Amino acid sequence: MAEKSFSTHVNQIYLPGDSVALSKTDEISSAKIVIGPGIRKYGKQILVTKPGVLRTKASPATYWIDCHHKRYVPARGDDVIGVVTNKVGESYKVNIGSSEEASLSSIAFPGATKKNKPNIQIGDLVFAKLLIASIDMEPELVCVNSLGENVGLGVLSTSGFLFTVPLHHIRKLLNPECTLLKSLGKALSFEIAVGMNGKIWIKAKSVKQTIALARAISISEHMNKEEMNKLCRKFVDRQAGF
Amino acid sequence: MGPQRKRLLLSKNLLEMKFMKRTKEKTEKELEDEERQEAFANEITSAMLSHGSKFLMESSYSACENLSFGRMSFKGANPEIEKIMRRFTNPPPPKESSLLQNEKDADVRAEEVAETMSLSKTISRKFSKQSQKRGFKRPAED
Repeated sequence: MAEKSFSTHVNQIYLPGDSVALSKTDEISSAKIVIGPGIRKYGKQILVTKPGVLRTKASPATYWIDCHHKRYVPARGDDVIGVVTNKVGESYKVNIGSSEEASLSSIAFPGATKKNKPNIQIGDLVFAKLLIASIDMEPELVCVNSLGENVGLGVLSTSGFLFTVPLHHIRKLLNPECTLLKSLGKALSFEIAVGMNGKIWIKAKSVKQTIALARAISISEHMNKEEMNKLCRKFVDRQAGF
Repeated sequence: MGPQRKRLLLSKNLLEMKFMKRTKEKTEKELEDEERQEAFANEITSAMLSHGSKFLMESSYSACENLSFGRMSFKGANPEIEKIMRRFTNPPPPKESSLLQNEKDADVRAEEVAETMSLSKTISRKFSKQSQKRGFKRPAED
């Protein structure tokens, strides 16, 4: 487990109910401490709610549990891929794999106004950011930043390919130290959208290339850095042989 | 507390007047806030005061692990996305430094431009004494 992870601070395995001890410097310092997913505060205790490996990060001091997931629980600020399932008045209902469907306002697109709405059909894929993700309310998506600018969010082309991988694999792919996507990108021309809800959308020049890429990404789930590099080299060789 | 008292002392009839509308709203809001604070004061426990502010809850993994943005394009598959990617990886330098850079490369310094373009000389002449003005003009006439 330890060597497969890209995090620098690797601690032990924790189970739900275990209490987490802060490091001595964090205990003393008056700086804010961030408690990430998998950890909760009960009174003075800090308890673990998910089974996994405890990870920490400095500045700001952050503690979270890294664990294997398949079901997505919406979290504010995540970028997700969803399928538009319905249109209700001014907003769309989007399936993002959570327990409840998210809503996406038709005005929350770059350059959209009440009169000038984006052209979205039922069944389209959207790459959007979660603006509201609370346990009691319907999640809300947006496709713009706070200034109303285009930041790469929006409708994904229908000629791509969507597949699902476990959530921990998504985190591994998006880790700045993971080079898989970059080295695949050196070999092939393609565009990709990686949603934190476990969905990956890929579009390459041909169907053959798209399938090969999707396959390479999904088999890298349990690979470490060297194995990933090896896979990339093999992949590049095979692409050259086409 | 002082200014609040004064505002509360304004008569009701005066506050009802049309031009006092905004002041009236303000005082009402202040009163409401005060009432609210009093109502919840006994709900705040000592633990909340001592511990509550030290911890922040973050439900997203992307913030914890510094994950990169999920939309990517390689080898010109989608130029628009590649432009956005470049902006994410190396954001443009702050404006101030670029201004300084301009200053270094310029043929004419900003001070020189200000000296020639500004009206400071003309206006200062208006305020100077008549004799000084004459003294200033004479060499020009010659």
